[in-house]
Amino acid sequence: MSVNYKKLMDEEERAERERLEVEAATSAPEPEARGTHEAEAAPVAIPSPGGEADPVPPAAPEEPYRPQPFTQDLLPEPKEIEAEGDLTPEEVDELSHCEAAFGNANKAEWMKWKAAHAIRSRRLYRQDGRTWPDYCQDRFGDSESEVNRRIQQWPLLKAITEQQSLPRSIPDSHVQRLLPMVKQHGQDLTARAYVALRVWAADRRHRVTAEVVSELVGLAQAAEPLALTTANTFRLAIESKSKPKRSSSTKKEHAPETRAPEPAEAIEGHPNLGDLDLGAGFGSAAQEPKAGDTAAEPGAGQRQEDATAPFTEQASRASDVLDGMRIGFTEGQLLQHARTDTLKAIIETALAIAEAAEDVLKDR
Amino acid sequence: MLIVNASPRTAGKTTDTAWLGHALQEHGFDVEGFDADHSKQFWDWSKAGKFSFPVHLKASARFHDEVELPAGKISLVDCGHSENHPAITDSLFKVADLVILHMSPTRADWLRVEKPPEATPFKDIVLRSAVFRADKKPPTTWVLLNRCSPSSKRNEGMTKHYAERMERRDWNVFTTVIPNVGLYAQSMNFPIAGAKDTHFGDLVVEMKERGLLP
Repeated sequence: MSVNYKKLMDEEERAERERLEVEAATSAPEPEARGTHEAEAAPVAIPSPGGEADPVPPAAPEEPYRPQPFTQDLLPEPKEIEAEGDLTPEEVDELSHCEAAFGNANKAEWMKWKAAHAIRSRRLYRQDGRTWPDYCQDRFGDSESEVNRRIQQWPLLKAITEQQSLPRSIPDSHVQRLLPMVKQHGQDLTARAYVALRVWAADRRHRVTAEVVSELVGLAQAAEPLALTTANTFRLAIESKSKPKRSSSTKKEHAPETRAPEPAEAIEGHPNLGDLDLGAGFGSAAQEPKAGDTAAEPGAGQRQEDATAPFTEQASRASDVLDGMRIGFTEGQLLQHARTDTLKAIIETALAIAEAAEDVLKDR
Repeated sequence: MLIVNASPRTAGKTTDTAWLGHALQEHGFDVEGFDADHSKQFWDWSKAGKFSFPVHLKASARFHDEVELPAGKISLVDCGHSENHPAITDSLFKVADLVILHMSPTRADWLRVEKPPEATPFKDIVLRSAVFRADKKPPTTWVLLNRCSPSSKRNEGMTKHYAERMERRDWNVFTTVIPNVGLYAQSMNFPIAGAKDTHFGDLVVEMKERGLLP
């Protein structure tokens, strides 16, 4: 028995006509009202700064089922324009394409290492008896161990990329240090904790270095899953990293009651991003201790310690800044594109700092 | 003026564009072609078929920004499938004077135009271009029913069914329809001659009568 398509189409058409008549008879809701309703219904993803609630970061928008190619012709040519005022619709469109490039870059990164994983696991490198180490060197220009390391990272990198609402760059040193946490807490929770840490830190202008990530992983060993995404955990991770090491118990006992400055106040620049501002007073007399810095009148011995405390703090900050610069140099492309004389100057400066630190260390 | 030939999926656009280009030229219009489809079929055909008007490769999402349209000519664009190349389609609709939506009178084509799963309905693609255009209005858009049954005229069978169905949804539908005949279907990469005396010549006359041509 054959289907009568004409009859089915007529029925569909009749229903469609009736629907259109009903639509025409009833007024459609105002688009503005719909927009307001959606805005009201949107969940607040990040708690207030003081909150200890679970700061679930807003996830990246879900990918449409139909993938859309991202091609270079989507990008406008860079051009100096004296533009002012609100963006035109055309500029809004151009901006959305430019911003999409960043999201695509993170996606391309994990896809790259997934591809390497597939090549390794399916032995696609084997033509003419080629080995995996040879393939890595020939085709990627990287050592086998480096490629294997990045292959370990891609599932977590993917999870982080998909959970980020902003396309922040994700240093592979961070992902590497997060891997032990995946074993204990699973991939989703690890990614969520890391993304929430980045959001929390960015809001307060804290730098998230690989060492801070290590602190988070350390704290996670003894933490319940719910505690992993709390502001308190993030504060501990950041402050553990920036806290100066005390060499004697006496210092701990008699340390002045002055509160260490919040990192947000202490670190004004973003060395990771190439902002080398070390904070007000760095390298100047502005950090001399001032009267009233301590809550109680200390004895003479304490005064001696008080006098050096700002330098201790300042050295710790400078160390953080150096570490940030190191990440900027090694994880970015600064070194690759630096002039020869710049590279020599970097080596000279780094060696001079290392030698000076060793000199001091000899007497400890 | 800029005429953009578009459709969500395969609908015979390249064939129609080539024949329409020749019909326009034979009617005395100065034509310039643009191939905005990565398949390069329109451009390739222009070389192999020795077209009497130039065709340029321009499959770019920056068409609206990069192409200076020649004055005094009719620029005719063969656009890639809007489902797969939405950015190119959007770019063209920002500057189009006339959009011709090519579709066959079939349920498959109708669904892809009106109710595409996981894609933007064609009318919404046209409408969303308005904000980018100088007059803040969507480009004038007409439906050309293509690959129609040769035995079925505009006011008969499925051709009539879909013409009326589109009109009920506020589409402009050309009276001229293009039948599915070997003359057009087998002409790819061969020279085109005598287009004025075909359905495409009728289409040019109708476009003139409707005030769609300069």
